Amino acid sequence: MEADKELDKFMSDLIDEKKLDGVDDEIKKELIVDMKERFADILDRRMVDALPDDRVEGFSQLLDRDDIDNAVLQQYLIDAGVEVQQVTVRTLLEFREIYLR
Amino acid sequence: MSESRPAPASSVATPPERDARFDIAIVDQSQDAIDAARDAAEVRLTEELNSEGGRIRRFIRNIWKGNHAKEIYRQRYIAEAAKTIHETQDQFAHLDADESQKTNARVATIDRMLQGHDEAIHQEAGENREVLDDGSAIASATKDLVRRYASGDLDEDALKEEQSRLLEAYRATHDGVDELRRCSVQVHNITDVARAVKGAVEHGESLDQIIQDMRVVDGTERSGARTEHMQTLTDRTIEKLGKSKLGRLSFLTPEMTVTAVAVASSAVRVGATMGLGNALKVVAPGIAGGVIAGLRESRHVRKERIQSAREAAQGGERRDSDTRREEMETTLYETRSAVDEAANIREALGLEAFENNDIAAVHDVMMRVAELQERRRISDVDKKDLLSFSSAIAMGAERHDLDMALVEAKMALAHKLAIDDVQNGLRSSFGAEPHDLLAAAREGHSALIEQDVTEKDKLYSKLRRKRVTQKVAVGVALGATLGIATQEAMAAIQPNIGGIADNFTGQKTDLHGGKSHYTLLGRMFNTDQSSGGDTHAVAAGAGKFDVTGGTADIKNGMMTIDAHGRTVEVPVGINGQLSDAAREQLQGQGINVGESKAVPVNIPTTKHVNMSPDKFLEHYGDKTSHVVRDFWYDNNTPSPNFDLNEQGLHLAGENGTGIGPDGHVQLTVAPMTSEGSFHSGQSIEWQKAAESGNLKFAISATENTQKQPFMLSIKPDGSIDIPKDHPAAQLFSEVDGRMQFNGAYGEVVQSAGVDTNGIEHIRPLATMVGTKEWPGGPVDIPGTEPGTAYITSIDVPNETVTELPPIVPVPLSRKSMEQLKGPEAPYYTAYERTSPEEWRAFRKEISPRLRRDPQAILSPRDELKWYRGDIEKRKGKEYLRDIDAQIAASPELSNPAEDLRAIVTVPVHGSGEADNIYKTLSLYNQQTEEKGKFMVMLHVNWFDSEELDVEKKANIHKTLSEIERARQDFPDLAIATIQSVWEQEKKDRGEYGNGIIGHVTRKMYDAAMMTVEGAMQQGRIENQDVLLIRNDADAEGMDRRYVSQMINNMESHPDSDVFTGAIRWGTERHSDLPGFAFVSNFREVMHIATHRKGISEWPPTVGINTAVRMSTFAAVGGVGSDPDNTGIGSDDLNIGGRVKDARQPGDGGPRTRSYMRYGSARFKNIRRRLRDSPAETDSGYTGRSGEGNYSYHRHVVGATIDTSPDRLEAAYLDPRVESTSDAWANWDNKQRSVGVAELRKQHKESLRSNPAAIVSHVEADLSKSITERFKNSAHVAAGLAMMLPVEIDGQPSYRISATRSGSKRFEFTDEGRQWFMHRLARDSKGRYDPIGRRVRRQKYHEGVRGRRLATKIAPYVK
Repeated sequence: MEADKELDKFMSDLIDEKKLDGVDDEIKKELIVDMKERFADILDRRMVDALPDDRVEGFSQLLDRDDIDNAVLQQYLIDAGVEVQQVTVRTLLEFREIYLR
Repeated sequence: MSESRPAPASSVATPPERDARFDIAIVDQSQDAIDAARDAAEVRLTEELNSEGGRIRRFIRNIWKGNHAKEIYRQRYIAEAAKTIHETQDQFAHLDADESQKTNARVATIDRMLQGHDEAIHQEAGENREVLDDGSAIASATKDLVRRYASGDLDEDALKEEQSRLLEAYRATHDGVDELRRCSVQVHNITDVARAVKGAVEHGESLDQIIQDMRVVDGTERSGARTEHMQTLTDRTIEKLGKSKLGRLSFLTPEMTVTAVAVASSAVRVGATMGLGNALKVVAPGIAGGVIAGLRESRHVRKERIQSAREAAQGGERRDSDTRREEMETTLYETRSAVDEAANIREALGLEAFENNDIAAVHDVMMRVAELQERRRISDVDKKDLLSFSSAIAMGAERHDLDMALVEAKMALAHKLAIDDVQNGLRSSFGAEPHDLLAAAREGHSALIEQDVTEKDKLYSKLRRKRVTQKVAVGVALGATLGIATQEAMAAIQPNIGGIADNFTGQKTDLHGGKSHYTLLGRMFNTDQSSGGDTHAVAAGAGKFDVTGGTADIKNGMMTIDAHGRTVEVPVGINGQLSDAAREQLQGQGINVGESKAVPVNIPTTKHVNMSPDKFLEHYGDKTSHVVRDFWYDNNTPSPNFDLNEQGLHLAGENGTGIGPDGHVQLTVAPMTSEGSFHSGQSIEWQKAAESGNLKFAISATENTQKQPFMLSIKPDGSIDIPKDHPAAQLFSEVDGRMQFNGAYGEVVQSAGVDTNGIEHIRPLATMVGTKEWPGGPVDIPGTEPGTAYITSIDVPNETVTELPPIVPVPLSRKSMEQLKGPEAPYYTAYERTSPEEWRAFRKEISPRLRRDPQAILSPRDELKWYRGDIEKRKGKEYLRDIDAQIAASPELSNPAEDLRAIVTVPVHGSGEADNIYKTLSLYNQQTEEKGKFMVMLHVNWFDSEELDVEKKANIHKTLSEIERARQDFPDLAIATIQSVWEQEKKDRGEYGNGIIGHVTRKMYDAAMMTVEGAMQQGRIENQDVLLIRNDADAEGMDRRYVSQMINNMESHPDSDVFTGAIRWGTERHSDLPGFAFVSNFREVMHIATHRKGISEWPPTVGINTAVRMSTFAAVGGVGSDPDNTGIGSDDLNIGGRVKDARQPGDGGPRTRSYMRYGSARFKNIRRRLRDSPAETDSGYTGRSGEGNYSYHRHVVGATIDTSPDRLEAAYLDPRVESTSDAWANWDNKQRSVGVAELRKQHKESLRSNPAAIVSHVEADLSKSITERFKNSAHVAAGLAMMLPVEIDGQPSYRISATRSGSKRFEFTDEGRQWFMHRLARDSKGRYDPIGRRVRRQKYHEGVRGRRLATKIAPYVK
């Protein structure tokens, strides 16, 4: 999937930039998986933080629903005025800062 | 001596009563469990943030975990802790507590739910309790489970399996939030009850009846700290998001992800562009960073307050160095110790004044009840911690105990308020009805608590404001600085961003997107802002513009400059003149315009003159040819018949108008054909002629000048182009949108060459006949004249972009609160114990005088008399009769010396001490103390089973014989004996509790005290204190002043109750094991070091060498009567422990806490309170001595015993045992010296041949000891200072470091090692004198061989 590949590449570039010793391909793969997980943790928080206070509850309830799908989730955020793309970009940059520091 | 066969010791070991009811409680603790998981995560995070490491490491760690990633780690740690708790079904899984404490807590919970007192169920806090109907699924399934197990349908394994299913079903019926389902914890007594029911059925009870009577209680417990974790809706939502079944980042479409990554990557390369002024750009990142830092700090501070409140409620104590927590503690609501409050209210109820209906005492209880009720209510309802507990694990039990104390108080109060005198007394004293008084008191306390809450909230707001403001200020400055610094660093490695360094190196910046990008500093300090691009010249008449970095074009007097997409147009003079206005216009657009340079030139001119055709041709003669027409390709059809190619010349240009671009005149012959031109056998293919350059267009101005036409080439495609500036063009003019030929003829001709006369021969193919109207008007005649032209340089700079420094959240290092103090290690883990119930029970075992006044000077007679009654009450008349009988049967006990000051009590295992006892008794015989002042009392005991073993039976007889021999040999030494034979069967049934030593010593101590009590009652002994000394039967040597030193200390220190001397471990073995000499001495030195000021460690009372004032020992109920706690520690550590509990109850609460945290902040507060209160100080127990923490306990110098080292030595020698600190780890009340003889054969240390092995062994042993046993670093330092020089020649003698695994490592330095080996091997003068030999010589005067000795008589006897 292209999105995954792009994210992998972003993380891979970060690892390269960090110039870690002894990172072979195998280790790098593991690092990427771990980093993506960490990034997702941060992005989850940033995305919820970006929601207006009065829309958090609704989002929370949405996540409880069994019939939820990605599109509904995405639309909810957009309808709530969350600049999803912008938040994601900012979080990527923040993550980069954190990782490289 | 009189031997009496004792009665079986049944009276000392009554099995605990078991609750006869078979009720079952299933208690859900999930909410407490998830709170515990959060607490554990906070502790873990705090620990990690405070772990060892250099400053830089800490700084980085604090940035990473303390700020950016703290939340990530926190959630991860919570999840991990929750998983562990769920899997172990143990909400205390992360607490450093032993199983017994956990079991106590579980049992307390079950009991509380089964008892079901309304007062004990905190509904406001979320607790509930429901007795399930038999018809309910859970009750029915539970009963069915018990029935099937009791009837034998299920075995143990099946019971557990079925129980698991039952609990799963239970969880399914208890809908909770998702979080709770992942950390679902229940405690229950299903298994215990099932087993009990099975036992009852086997003993003939009716299973049906039991099941019918059985109640199943469903409860929810909330016994933890009340302050709620900051688990906001946001937190929960984030958790849900992380666990969503849709997977991670499910809110992003693939396109969003791809785009976001691309944008982010691009931003990384170039940075963001914002149209801000430079000044604002400086400030903006800082402001943004500051705001983010401030928001974060606000959240952190809030969390810290919650954490502090919870931890304080759970008995946590901060370290002195933890200023952050100290500051935060000022914002915490005032709490009351649940243990103290329960004890206080019970004490108030027990006062005689209350019992006698004293109005002030009754009112006092009313006030206490009112406050506790309010404190409890507000705590539960508002989720605030207004009560504190000794530990997290004890919270449930202590809270319940306080509830019960409240119930007791309310009942007692109700009883009092029903009495008329009390009612009237309250009315007259306080002017109100009793129930109004209580209501008013509750209101008053509620207001006081609310006032405290308000004040503390204000303090908290102030503190938060302060910290947030600091963080914002630092964040603004640091945010700007870091952002700018980061930007410069990026610029240094990226060619397309100009940084400040480039200003100094002259490095030009590559364009990116046609623009120059600068860092903020780079732009501010950049003085050279030229484009750096290529230069090209644009002519303007005789002048020119040298344009750099852009393109320019001049047309019609206007110069158009392309400035990177923007167009700027200004008028220019014909020779490059640039007006001031034009110059300003350009500069206003950011285009740099240089000074115009004046250059003298010949300026082209055009003269407008009227001239005749001849003159015209004369003027343009060089562009005409003299021609002769050989013939016409008329296609053999003479004029005026024109056909074929003769008609093939046409106007071309735009739409055939003849008008071409730029005023050109354009025609074409393309319509001509290859065969369309011929004449009398001559023909021509026009294309070929054009290609060979022989096809031309001849323009004749007039008929008269047709011999001198202008000749223009016709291109192979047939096109004819007459430039505007060509003279022939003046023969054309535009008429009605078409070119009109005003000359005479325009002919398409074949050039046949030039003859020798210079005449060109032409042959027309087609002819255009003009209007033959010579213009006759002015004709432009070009020329030149001297003039000035201008050369101007124009620089079109690249568009400059000042990059905004990255606005990233400011990574401020944030100092977390420090870890709470960890529990200090108790010396003997077996001594750890107690629940509030035990504490309460202990209080009941104390004499009323001591309970009223812990600092009381006690009367031996009164206390021993009270103790006699207490023994009878608690242990029964039969037990007391047995004691009395044994005393009566013993001449020594029944008739003690008038001046008796000490009884040395020694437990003697009948089959185990046969070889030791005579020697031990001989040591007392050699004492310097007058024999009449002390007696030795032996409790010889054995199991009946040992009588069946021939060898053991013989040993028992030998022991008794040896005692008798000693009596004969030491006639002045009073040797008394009592005897007990224990029943093996009872032991096997577990009816002796967890060890026999407790029973042996209790009886021995009781007999000793009743001996003195009896003598006092009979008047044979004055009301004077007698010391009860506890020793063991395997002493190998003893200071000859031992008994006298003990007695002297008792007499000269009336404020001390407990006395201990030093122990040496087998000095005889030190020659073979010099390393052992060191480690065993270290052990004892550490005990002695507990008396040092500033060392907050409890000094243990070890049975080998302990003494206690009998009045005090009686007043604390001896070593207690707990039938289950009879193992190691109950016989000796309980001596000091119980005295401490009674003498210093201010430390409050369960004993474990008291011992482990003695010297704590709370203890110090109490000491401070005592010190600051004159009345209390005068009479205060602590104040009497004014010395260290344990003023009731005195170390007695000169009261040393050299004891058998077997157990310690075995631990030292056995390679399977890591350290002597593990010597008692496998205590099982059996033979202590298993294997030591064999080990001795295998291991021996040599100072000469292998000293390094000794050093290594000692280092390893000490490392383990200070890791696991002596954890207090100040204590260790004090102990080692007594054994090693702190410095040798300015170098430390040892180092202690922490390993990665968290253990500690003790290592000698080179200097220390050298010193250590020297001291083991040589005396102070450097002579070879190994430590073993040296000690024996000094203490026993062995191997003197002419050496001068410090004393004439050996200090020790052997």
